Amino acid sequence: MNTLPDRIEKQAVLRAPIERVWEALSDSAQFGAWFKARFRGPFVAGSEVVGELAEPGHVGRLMVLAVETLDAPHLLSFRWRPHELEKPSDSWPASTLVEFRLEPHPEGTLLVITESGFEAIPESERADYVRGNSEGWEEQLGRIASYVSGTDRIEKTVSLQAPVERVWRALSVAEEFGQWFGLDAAGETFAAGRSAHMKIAEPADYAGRDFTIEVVALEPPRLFSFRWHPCALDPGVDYSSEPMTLVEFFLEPRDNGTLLTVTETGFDAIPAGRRATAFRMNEGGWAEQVQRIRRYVDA
Amino acid sequence: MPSAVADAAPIFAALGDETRLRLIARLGEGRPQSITALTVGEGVTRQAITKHLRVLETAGLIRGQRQGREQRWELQADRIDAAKTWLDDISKHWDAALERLRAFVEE
Repeated sequence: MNTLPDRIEKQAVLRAPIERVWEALSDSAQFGAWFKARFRGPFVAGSEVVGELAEPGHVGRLMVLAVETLDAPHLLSFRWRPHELEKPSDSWPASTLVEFRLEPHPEGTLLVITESGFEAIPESERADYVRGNSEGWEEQLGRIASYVSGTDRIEKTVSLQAPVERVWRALSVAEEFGQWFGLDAAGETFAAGRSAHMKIAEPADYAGRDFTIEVVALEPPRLFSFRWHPCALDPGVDYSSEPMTLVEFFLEPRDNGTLLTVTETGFDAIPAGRRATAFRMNEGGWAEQVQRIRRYVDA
Repeated sequence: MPSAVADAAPIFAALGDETRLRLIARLGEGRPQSITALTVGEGVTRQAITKHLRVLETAGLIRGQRQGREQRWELQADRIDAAKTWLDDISKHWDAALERLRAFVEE
């Protein structure tokens, strides 16, 4: 007989105080930052909140979380129907229960994520669902661990007075990207799953050096993401075996302009020695960048 | 400065604990304090506080000095600043890049 587990359970110790982890879970904006979704309201016990996925391959898809418990700083639970991403929700009225349990731990916080209630899923789809979400929660656990570590990620949001289509072009057309980023990208194009090879144009100290990004997602006009080796500028070093960081640009229309969110994640995986090199480069290099902008803006 | 950056990860790991964060806050008041004083109100044993202080010492965040018969602990503020500087620096790079993007798309 084919037996499926009746729940998915994943746990990890996060290197952050319990209050920090609770914030990252209970604040819908922070939850969305690591989960890769934008929620249209706060999490309130007993209420539903709609979220829009910001995940490659699913950008713009909606999901509904029915928040059941918000017991600070120990328990967040909600019900959802992840299948509504694929199908009209009325074909599958029942939902599964997701729980986040937090406990203080000598190294930080123990987080246990469980999902249960799989009898709600049509039997023919149950095995696939459990397998898929088991992997999914494993990945999400890694994302929240990075999010709360405090050293793994940078996030920036800017409001631009230009339509989404304009901003999208400045990001996704290699030559335009190069113009504001300080790269010579002549003849290059960005395509999902492909590397783009460019040369540094600015700052002058590094001009002419190779600069490569690996485009991950190109989903007009909402999501552009790539991996790179941050500050990989020493020509004598082979960076190819080192982990890369992931840079994501997420665009949202706002009035007549664009709300742009940029995140760079994965710094914790960069070897400590390399971070020191990156920092030395930054100390001189970025100071130069700032001067360039000042000249540009003041001109 | 760069060597401080290489050490930034252990600093953040050392700070990833409520008790240790509270100890840092208490030592942040400025004057060196004894283990006895630091244990007051923590609701944990002196041994546990000693263990936490050792973690903070290993990360270079605090320094112990013997005064008479007692060991007193004080904050090494420059180390905490170094960890912050590293994050701030990468962050500034993005601020600069986004300002260039703004100039580019808003012109």
